Order: sequence, then structure tokens, then C-alpha cells
Amino acid sequence: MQRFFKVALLVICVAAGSGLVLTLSDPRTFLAWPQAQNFAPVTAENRAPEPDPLTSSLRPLDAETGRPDPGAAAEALIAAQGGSAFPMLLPHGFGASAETMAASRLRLRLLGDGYYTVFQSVTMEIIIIGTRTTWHAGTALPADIQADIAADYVMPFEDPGPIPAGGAITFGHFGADYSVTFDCVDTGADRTQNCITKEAAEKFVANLTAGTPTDLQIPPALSS
Amino acid sequence: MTRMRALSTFLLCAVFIGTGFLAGMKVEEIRSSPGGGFWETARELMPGDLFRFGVSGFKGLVGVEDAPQSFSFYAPGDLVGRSGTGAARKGARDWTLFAPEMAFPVAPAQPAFLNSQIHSPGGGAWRGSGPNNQCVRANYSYPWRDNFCERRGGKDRESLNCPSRAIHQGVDIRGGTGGSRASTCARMAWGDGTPQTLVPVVAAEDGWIEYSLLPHKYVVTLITDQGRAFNYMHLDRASLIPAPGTRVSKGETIGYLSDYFGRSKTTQHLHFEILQNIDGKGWSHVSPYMSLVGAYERDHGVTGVLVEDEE
Repeated sequence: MQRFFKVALLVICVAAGSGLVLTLSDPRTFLAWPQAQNFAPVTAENRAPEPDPLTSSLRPLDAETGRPDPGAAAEALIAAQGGSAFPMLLPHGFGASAETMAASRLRLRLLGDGYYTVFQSVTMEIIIIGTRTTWHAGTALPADIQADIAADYVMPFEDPGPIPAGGAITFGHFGADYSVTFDCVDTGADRTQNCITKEAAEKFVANLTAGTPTDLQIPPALSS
Repeated sequence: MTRMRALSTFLLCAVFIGTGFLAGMKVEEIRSSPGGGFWETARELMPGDLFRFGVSGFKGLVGVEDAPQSFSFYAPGDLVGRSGTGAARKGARDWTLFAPEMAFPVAPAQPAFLNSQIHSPGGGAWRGSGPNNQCVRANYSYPWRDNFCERRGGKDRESLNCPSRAIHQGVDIRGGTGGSRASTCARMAWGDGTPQTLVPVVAAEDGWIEYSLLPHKYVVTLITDQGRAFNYMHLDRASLIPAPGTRVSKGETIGYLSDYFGRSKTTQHLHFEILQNIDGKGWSHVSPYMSLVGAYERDHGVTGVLVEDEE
């Protein structure tokens, strides 16, 4: 009996001791909370370098060319767009009334520097974002894009492939920058086929018009 | 007398180890089971946990404490081997914080870990040794590893500074804990099928929440006021909090991390993207990696340690 206790005691203590040594030698604790790591202290050598500050600016708008009614006074255009002078590109026939928008799950929101709108069809949901804010990332740009910075430009259509079906187009117009994202319904039928082609997406964008969403209940502009 | 001494020593040792186990398990319960009870947690433990918790509690009882160090991360663009080439700017690493003031998208109540969902245990391209299980401890450990620009099967998509197309346009984030059946990962992955609201996901900045109400959609978009948008993927669809079109504040909970992938499942993680209007390039996917490092440092009050890539 005495021998049994001695062996049991030895086994337990050896196990506990081994576990302690193993745990202490493991730089990762079981609970990997940031404060509980045994990595080397932060020094000048292992600290990430300070990044260049990212700056932004507001691009000047050229909304004159985007007016639905070139003869209308600027004040009338701003009033028609719910207080926003931003050229809101909208699909043709977009939301004739607040009731129509609600029924169709259409939404339009003014942002501090632009707007966005969401609308839904049977096969996809489309989000359009327009902004004046541009971020300067110090990126080396291809020459063909650099040449187009001051003018309108259209970026290549992105086709992400069969599973996350849809696509996106980004382009510049009226001095502002727009993003159009097509998010397809997954019908489960043929997942190798995208619901939107490059041609269809470009046609959709070409048919966008600077909207005058009269009769819409647009929330007040948000300050940035 | 000898027998009495051995017996008392044995009992003392057993009490010591037992107390250590209970203390360690209590820590685990508090950290990873905010909604579970103590004994409920105990029933879910694997045999290996008993020993680990015992050691954990033993360390606490004898006063061995982990030094208050920071979390660690590999440099941006250091992808796991064979998974692709990371983002770089003019041939150099890109340390840019594209969203320098954002909140970390996983609420500070849980730790978070960035690593590849494809090339880590439990992923489709895992080629390493050891258990092939998404909840293993290795997946829920530092250092973080960038996976922006990782090669994916997509046909045509690009991101700022990624050297090739058909790539991963965001970063994958595991949130919570792994390594045991009581961990958040295991409870979410192998629970009873009810929505698990264990790992809250929050708004990175003030903005508007948008997501499709069409079936099988798994993208939530946060549109901000200043030329930036965030895409969150794989949130538990049944427990999304704001309705589409709702204004949310930075740090506000918008949903919960899950493995929802429309008609199929992925691993338990949050796919996180930043889209930004870049001068001369237009709206682009940009690397969230360093912005996430900065946000994690701020939200957890720590400083990240940059570690060398051993591969």
C-alpha cells in the first residue's frame, strides 16, 4: 500500500513538473491574449516602421456637364438633389417616389462628400458610391492611368469568378469617382456562370444619368 | 508514520493540482465562455484540457506569471509559403495604414488572429503535419500573418499593389479562442446548430450598413463618409443587428463571426476588406493588414512586435 502511494505521488509530481516545464518553454500560452505572450519586448529593432501619413483631398467637381437640365440654375439643381450639389448618378427611372423606393428596397443616402444608393433586381443587388474624397497613397501608376487622371476614366471590369458571383466597375465622371458593385443572387443553378458580363455592366454604367430624385425623402447631408 | 506522511503529501499534491485545474478552468470559462456556466464548461472539456488547465492554474498558484508583452506579427506581404506574393509598393513592403483610425472589427472582448484560411490547419490547401482541424491552437496563436493578395481561384480581380490578379482582396481574421472543445471556435463549429453569438463584430468607422436581403448573401458593407467602405463577409446571417440602411457608430456591434458562406460553409472567420478611392486609380481594394495591426494595438492597449519570417 505504501509503495502504491509513493508511485502515485511520483507520477503526479513528475506529470505536473513536466507540464510546467513544457508550458514555460512554450512561447504561446493556451489563452493567446495579447498581454500574455512571451515574445521579446518591443524595441527599435522589432517595431514596425512608421508609415508615411496617408493624406486625402477633395477633387473639384465639374457638375455642369452632369446636369440633367443644363439650363437650370445651380440652386435648382441643388434643391432637386435634396441639398446636395454632388452629381448623383442613378439608373434611368430610378425611384419616382419615396413609396416606390420603399417598396423596391431602394435606398439613397447622402454622405459627407458624396452619396450612395442601393437597389435590387431579381438577379442582383447593385450599390453605387460616388465620392469627391481621394486618398493619396503614393502609388506608382501605369502611364495610361496617369494620363487619364484629369479626365473621365473607366477601370477594367472585375469578374471575381463563379462563387462570389458579381462584378465591379470604378470610373471617374464630373470630377468625382464612382464605384458600381454588382452582387448576384446565388440561384444554385449553374455556379460557373456569372450573372453579369463585362458588356452588360458597361452598358449599365453608360446608362446612368445624373439624377434629380425629386419627391424623395433624402436625409439631411451629413457633415464629415 | 511513513504511510501517514506519504498520504498527507499525496493529498496535498492532489489538492494543489486540483485547485490549479479549477483555477485554470475558471480562467478559460471567463475568457471563452461568456454565456456558459462553470460546470457546463467542465463537461465539455477534453482529457488533455485537464492537464493543461492544471498546469495553468499551478503556474498561477506558485506565482509564475506571463510577462506583459505585446502580440506579434509578420511583416506585411509575408504570405505563407506557396500561397502567393504579397502586396508591395515599388518593390518594397507597404506599411501604409489606409484606415489609420479604424476600430478593430472583432470586439475587444475577444482576441483575434490573422492567418490563411486555406493554407492553415482545417483549410483546403493545408499541407503541414499535425491535426487538420480549424480549431487547433496554432490557428489561434500569434504571430499574425498577412493573407492579402493570397492566390485564389477567381478569374479577374485586382487590388492595389498586389503583383497579380485573381487574388484574395481582403484579410481573414479568426476571433476568439481555439484549442479545446470549450473554445469559441469549437462551440461555433461543432455546436448544436443554433446561432452562436460568441464573437461580436463591430463597425470599423461611423457609416451606413448595407447588405442584401436576397437569399444566400454573405457580404455586409459599411459605407463611410469619406471615400472609404468596408466589406465584412461570413457574419452569422440570423443575428445581424442593424437593418440595411442603418447608420452605425464606430465600435458598435453589427453582427457575429461565423462560417456562413451562402449555400456552403467556410471556416469560422471574418473576411475583412477595405475599399478606398485612391488618387489616380479610383475605387480599389487596399491592404487592411497594417490598419488592423494599428487598430488591435489601440483597442487592446498593446504594442505589436515585428517578427522575422522563418520560412
